[in-house]
Amino acid sequence: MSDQLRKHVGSQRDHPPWKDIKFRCAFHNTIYDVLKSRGFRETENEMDFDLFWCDKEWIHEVFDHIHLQAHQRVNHFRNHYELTRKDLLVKNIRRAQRQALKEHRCSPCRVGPIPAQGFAACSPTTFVLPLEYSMFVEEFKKQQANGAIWIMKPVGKSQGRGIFLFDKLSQVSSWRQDPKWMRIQKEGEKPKLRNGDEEEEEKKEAEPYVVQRYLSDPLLIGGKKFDLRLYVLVTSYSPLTVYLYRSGFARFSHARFSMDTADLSDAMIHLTNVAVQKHNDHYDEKRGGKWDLHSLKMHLMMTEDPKKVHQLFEDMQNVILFSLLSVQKVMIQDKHCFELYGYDIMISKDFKPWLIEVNASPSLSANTVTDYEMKFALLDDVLTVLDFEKYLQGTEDQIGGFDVLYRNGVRVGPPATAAYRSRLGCCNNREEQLRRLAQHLAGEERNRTPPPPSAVPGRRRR
Amino acid sequence: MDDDVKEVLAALRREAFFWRAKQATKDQLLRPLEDATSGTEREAVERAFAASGFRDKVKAFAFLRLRSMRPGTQDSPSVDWARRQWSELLLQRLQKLSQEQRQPFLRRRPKPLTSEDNPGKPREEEVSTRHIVDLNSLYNLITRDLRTRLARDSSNRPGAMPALGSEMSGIHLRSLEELRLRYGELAPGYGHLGVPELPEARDARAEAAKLEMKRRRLGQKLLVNAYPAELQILARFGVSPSLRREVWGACLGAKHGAALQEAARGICEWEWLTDDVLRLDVAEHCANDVSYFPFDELVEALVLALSRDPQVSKLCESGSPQIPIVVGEAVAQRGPALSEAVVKDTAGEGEQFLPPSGVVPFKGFSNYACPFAFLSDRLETAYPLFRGFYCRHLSRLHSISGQAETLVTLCGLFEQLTAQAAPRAVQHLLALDTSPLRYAFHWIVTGFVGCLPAEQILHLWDRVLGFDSVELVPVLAAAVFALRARLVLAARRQEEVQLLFADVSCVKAIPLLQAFLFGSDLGVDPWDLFREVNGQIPDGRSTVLKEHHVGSVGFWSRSFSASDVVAMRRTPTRRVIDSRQPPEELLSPKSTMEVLTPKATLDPANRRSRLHYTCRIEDGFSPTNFLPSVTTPGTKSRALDDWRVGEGSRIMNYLQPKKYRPMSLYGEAFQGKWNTDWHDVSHISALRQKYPWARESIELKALPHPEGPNAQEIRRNRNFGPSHGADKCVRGMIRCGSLCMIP
Repeated sequence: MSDQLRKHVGSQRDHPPWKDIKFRCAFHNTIYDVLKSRGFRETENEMDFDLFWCDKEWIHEVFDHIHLQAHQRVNHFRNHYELTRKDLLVKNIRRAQRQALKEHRCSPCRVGPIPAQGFAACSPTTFVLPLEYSMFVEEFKKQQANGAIWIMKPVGKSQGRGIFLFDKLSQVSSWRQDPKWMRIQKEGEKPKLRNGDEEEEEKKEAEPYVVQRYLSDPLLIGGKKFDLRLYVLVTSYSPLTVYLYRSGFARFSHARFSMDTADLSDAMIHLTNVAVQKHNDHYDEKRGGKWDLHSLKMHLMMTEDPKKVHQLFEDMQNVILFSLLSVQKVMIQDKHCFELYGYDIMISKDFKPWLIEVNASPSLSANTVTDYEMKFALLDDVLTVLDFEKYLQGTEDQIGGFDVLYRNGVRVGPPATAAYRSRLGCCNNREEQLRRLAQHLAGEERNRTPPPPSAVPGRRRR
Repeated sequence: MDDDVKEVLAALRREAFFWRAKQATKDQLLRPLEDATSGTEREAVERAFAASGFRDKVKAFAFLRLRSMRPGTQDSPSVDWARRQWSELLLQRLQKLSQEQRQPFLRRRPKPLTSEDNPGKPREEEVSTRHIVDLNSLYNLITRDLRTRLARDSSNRPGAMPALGSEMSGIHLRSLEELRLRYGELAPGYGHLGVPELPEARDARAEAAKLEMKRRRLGQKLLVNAYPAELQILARFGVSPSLRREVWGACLGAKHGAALQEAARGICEWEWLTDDVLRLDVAEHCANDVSYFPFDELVEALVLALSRDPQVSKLCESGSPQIPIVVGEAVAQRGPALSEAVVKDTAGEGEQFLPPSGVVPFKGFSNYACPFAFLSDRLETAYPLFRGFYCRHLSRLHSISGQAETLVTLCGLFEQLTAQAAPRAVQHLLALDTSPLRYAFHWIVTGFVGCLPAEQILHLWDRVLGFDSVELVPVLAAAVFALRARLVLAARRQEEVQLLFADVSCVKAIPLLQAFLFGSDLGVDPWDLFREVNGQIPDGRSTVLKEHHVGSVGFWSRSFSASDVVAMRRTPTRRVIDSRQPPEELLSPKSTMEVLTPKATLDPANRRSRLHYTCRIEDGFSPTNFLPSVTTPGTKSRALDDWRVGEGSRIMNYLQPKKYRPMSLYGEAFQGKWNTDWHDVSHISALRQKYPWARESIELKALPHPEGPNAQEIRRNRNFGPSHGADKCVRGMIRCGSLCMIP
């Protein structure tokens, strides 16, 4: 839909702005199509690019050793794992929570941007194993009376690998031991005689896991469990600038949800990852088990109290904002970087959103036609927001499907008189909006007197 | 006193609440009040009755009762013949299916479902069955057979095919002008929910939200009394989603509980032949639909309950949708025998309908239940709504009878409207040896479920309920046809037309209806019409209408042109392959149609070749694919097929050229690395990309899924993984049902 901008604004310039923009792309899926369709040129050159859509490994390996020009952008932050690794996220959220509490105590009358309770509600009770094993045991014993069930997730893995549920302490006994490096410190240097055994032991070495209180009463639709995938674009961490995409989708598990202990090991019931559900006998590639966020909102509006639903969507927005604010200080700001996050959120029966995980590189390959359309539109809007072509003025509140959520230290939201507090899940009117925006910008551009050619800033001419 | 009133009174006396109301009124009268003495005795009674709180209930009851007493029309002999023909066909098919499946019509379930059987889990065993009948045969019956018979019968005008509807049953079909008057409240200018805000308005979103809130408050006020007549008028302007369930329930007079209890009786012990067919239907339609797939179990329960509900055939307002098939009552252990089934109107002593509802499901029947699952998510609340709506409106969409607003008349209305709105397109289709009804038939029969997204369906059905007529369904179908009429004119083959109408999911129902009925391009000033209609509103309605009259919001010149509505939801940047939708370039009859049409220059010898289409013969009707599946020519053509003679012996073919060989500008042509570089095969790849489904069977299934093994491979190898279904692992043994045998 960027072609509206291209038609109205770009065509007024004497040189089409998109022709100069060079990109590199590490993926060959939707993002590549989008970049192509905007008219950008692909470049083979390692360093001469305006935009590099890279994978996370590249950032870790290369990014520190190179110097980027002012106009070059990369789609990850250097230490994005502060937000996207499960254990670090927990750490950061906890710290922010403590800090907010402290500030609150120091000056209770001060109206901070976020109340401390906000942080507490972000994420279910979480511990990092094996580091916090003893704390976990304490909490476990406290909760055991309620029949709490816990979920173990490996820190570094994705797509539902290595996840399991348990309700007895014995099932996680292998995480009781201290991590290896601590043990080595304790035992000092040991002669490495039995190499084979050493390796064996290393394999048995407890992998870092996070353990979370399992949501045993999720909101069910049609008797099935689901989680939400929302898209958030952060263009800068200081000042924090957050855009929230209106659409998203709900991923459904295939089987009817139940909390029977016999079913605890059944991944089909409890995990909604596409990678897991794909193994189901009845999995159908054509529909992919994905439900549009708008459908979800509509369904909830029809079956539940609309006020509650509005509140739920506002809460989801808050959770996203809290998590970003809590890592804001830690994140290394770099003006070359931006990041598109995929937020995984679950909803419990009492209409409370729970942050499960944040992905720094959400899957951009599509499995259905509607999925492709959705992701194409999303990425197109990402590129519009990044504004390589210099169309925008920087004050827009909505750009395509993206709504500004936080900018210059203030929340941006719908007018105070509106019934809804969040635009999340609304009908995505991006085409309409972009057309209007393009016409508006074209008018502005026409009114401006063209500056002399020498004074044109920024763009190199070729 | 009027006969109707007498009858309503008699019916009222049979209700328990009537006597309670009477008692309450009496109590109220006897209570000493000062103002009770003023006025006549009659007025006092009236006041007391109003105060007793039963007035609304009695009013609602009387309204529903009067509604059900509307006189029906007489069947005409030819339609009667078709009706009987249809039932005979169904019986025949059922008997055949029963033989194939080796399953009697009704049998005791071999292993009754019990609560500890874990009903949540889908049953593991594979059941193979097939559909009893698809819409193609219904279509053929209605158009071909019925028409030929009519032509033979009347025989005063040989050669002329009689039109559906009016000439058959003598029912007057409304013309476009009459429809405008009848559906005056649909006119743009009234505030309608479900109409996207105009882009010109600055804070259009807030306006829409405000309107929605206003409507919700009004709805809540009206729901206190729950008088169906008022609520129906509310529904004409769209119901706020949070109230929809209650408003529909009140309009339909649906009571909770009892109906479902009755229908669900015996669902665990007895098994009808149609049960598995319905399950198959749900799996094919509901579970594959993007909007409804989370609800497949609920829809299955809804459809099964409806098919076992003995009340349905009595409750249907246009009479039972077909002449029911009657079988003997089930004796203790075994069901009725095959030979006992007959087609007749009523079930005698010791007999029952097959299935108990009397409606044999056709392919796509389960579509009807989907929006109700979306609406409520709970069987207890969804079922009364579903049954009420089915009996009042949806059953008309597939019942062949001479009554007003049944399938034959609806099809007739559609044909008449298309002929009026897009005569050239209709003529064009006739020249192509097809007809508009062919493509719109499944829209009409399924009520657009599965063709439009859920939100649009609910908006449309709001209006159907509000205007108390399913006429809007064929009107919308005609509107969709008129919307694409220009494209139809550009089509040169039936398959292209089919492609045009394959996916209509981008249509916004209500704006399109408005544009079709009131569009200024039809030569009527909508404002004139609006005033005209406004003058005609009787008193009862005007109170409600005043609240709704948001008409003064802005000037309405014309709502949407055809292309506007097409463009409304579409991303123009999307590539041609990305959508099953005909792309926007189709709007100009030039580009894509030319791509579709093979150029004569493709053939080196300049022969004119006809393309061959192979149709697989199957019962392959699905709501999205009307004609049997078509393989396009794109699948065949590989680059090598178009090689010139001697091309293969060129030396360059045996050298491995460099990938980035500089191209010489003088004479020598670039010989690329890939075969496709020699010839311009872009038209072929365009065709392939355009019809991804056509090559699916040939190429895609064989390839591994890019993200890993595909479902088929996983299913094949599932026993080898310890993590998935390890208990199912029967290494080296042959599995036969629940038994494992050692070879």
